[in-house]
Amino acid sequence: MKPVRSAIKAIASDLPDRELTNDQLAQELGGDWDAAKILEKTGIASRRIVAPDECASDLAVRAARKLFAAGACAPADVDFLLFCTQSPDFFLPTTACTMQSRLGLSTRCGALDFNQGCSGFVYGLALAKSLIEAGTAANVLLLTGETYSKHINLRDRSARAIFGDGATATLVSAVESDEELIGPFVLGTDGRGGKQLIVPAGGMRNRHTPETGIEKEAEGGNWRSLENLYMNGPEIFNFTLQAVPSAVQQLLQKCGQTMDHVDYFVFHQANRFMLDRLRAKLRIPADKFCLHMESYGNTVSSTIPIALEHARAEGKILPGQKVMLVGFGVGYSWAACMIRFAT
Amino acid sequence: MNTEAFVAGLAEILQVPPETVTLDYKLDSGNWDSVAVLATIALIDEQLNITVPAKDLVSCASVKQLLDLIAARTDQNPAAQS
Repeated sequence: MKPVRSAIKAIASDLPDRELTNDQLAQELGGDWDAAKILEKTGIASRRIVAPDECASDLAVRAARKLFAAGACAPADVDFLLFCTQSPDFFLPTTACTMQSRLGLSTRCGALDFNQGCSGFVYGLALAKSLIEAGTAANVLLLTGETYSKHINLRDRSARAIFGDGATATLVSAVESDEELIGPFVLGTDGRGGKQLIVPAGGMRNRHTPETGIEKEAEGGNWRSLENLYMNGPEIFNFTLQAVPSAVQQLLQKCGQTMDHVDYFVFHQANRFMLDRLRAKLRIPADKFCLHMESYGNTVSSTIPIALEHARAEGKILPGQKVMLVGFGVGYSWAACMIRFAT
Repeated sequence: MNTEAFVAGLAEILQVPPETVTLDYKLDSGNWDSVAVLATIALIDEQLNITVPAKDLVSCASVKQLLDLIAARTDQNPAAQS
């Protein structure tokens, strides 16, 4: 008998209807940035933004329903629900618990949220693999959903140009296979970088007060309050240039392989500028490197599954091929792993 | 470091002719915005394989200050230049 392994069975995504184009951004924000310059500098032409009454969980529930409608599995077959978000519905209860009933999952299904950003999908795969290969679950529904637009000040043009809202649903299931289909993993954390990408107020450390809501002008003519997302772009870029190549090397070492053994690379789709530099630094050929953010922007924990599914649909990833995933960002947190789709 | 190559890269980032980028060229006189800072981080990484703290980079007023900052970091990381 072959050993029980975890494998990605299917991926679906859902994006809000409302679009924010570079033309709209340039028009709204003025200054010296036009639509063409935003595209040139970020690689992003348009993002999707949720309606005021629409939450990350709404997008993720829709993504999960698409997965069920496509026949990936029945809701009753799911025995663990993982939801990665930094935009939960409530402080409590856990958003994943509310989604269990919305999706019609069994009451015998485990459910939990985990709070991670751009590294979240790879962390979710590590959790799903552990649950499955320890025999705790057989079908893990891994959801990612984010609405950074709700954290970003409308007058913070730098952040608005980068981030878009979105959600994905991935079914990770137990299969019998001689070969590992998810893993190995390299995970990492450096909490000293926490202040570089943060919503400083509104949680328990700095609770909401009238003062925390006051908007102030910051660097580059951007405005924000302490309840808005703050991102130190240059410092995060520095972190990325160090952490990502190092994680890639550690992962290759763990696999006992070299860059040439990897068929395709799907990195967190932060922005094109950052990915171009990482690709050059790691000497990855352009045809093996995924760039897929032009129509969505940086959807945080959803960029990797959205890009992965797109690459698979385009035939850039074939069953059995070795694919490297790397997520990195807020925390600081990073995670890299190898995956293969079953043949 | 190869100062000539670095200045050529910097001129491209600032979108000015290379000959105008002298040691006392005032960075804030042109396109020294957040995107230029990001591009300079990439340039320093590409040519020297070192990182420079973003806040120090942002506060550079002239090309000389920028080169001094990089030289100080390079001295701290002598192995990084290979």
